[in-house]
Amino acid sequence: MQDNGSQPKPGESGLYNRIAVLRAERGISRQQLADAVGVNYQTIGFLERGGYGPSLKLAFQIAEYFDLPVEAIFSTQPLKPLSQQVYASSQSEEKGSP
Amino acid sequence: MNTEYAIGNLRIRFESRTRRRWLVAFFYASLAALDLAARTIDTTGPLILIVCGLLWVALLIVISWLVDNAWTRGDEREMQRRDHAYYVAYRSLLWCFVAGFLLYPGVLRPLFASYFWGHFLRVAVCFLIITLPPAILLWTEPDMEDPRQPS
Repeated sequence: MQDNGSQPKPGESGLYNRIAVLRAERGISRQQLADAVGVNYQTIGFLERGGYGPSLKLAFQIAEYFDLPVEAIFSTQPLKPLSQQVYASSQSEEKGSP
Repeated sequence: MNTEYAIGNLRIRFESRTRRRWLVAFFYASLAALDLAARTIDTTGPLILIVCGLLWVALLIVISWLVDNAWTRGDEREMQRRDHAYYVAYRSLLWCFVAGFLLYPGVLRPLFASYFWGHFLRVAVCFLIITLPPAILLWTEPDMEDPRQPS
């Protein structure tokens, strides 16, 4: 798996996501996330591997759990590495500041 | 879907799809053996019938346990998989019934009339209606993760 937080392939679901990297970043196990959103921990594994596309409700529940907008976690396009995205936004902030 | 069956301290794990497929194959093989033993009890004796019957019941209990979670309180993915298994099972059976209806006059009537094949086909139809959806679910569900592995 790449270290950019997105799956190299969208898998059967046709969706890319950052669940695995967000979990790792916050030290949350699959079981903890599964309990928080009310699914089986195996379902979290399938989501992370792109083997299953979540319902809108589940996608929003996951986004609320991580306190992020849903488009920051799920995308139909390959997601940029988080580090690259953070660096780009800080660069643009620096350029914008007087 | 449950991925583990425990008998006392013995834990049988079913995360692997290959292992689940073997379970399904053994289940239907034991059903065929039970049916065959019941038909030929005069020559084989009751012991074989009892052994086949116990084996089949044991495998039925394991299969029921494994799919129980998806049947009763599954999450959205499990319910989706369950619905798909029912759809595939009953659509396949429907086509079998249609084919059976069309073939009945020429091909199936003599088979149903014969003592051996008639009984075999009736048992097969009855048990397929009941057991095909869980068997399809176990057969098609991808490899799962071992919960003992760190995630």
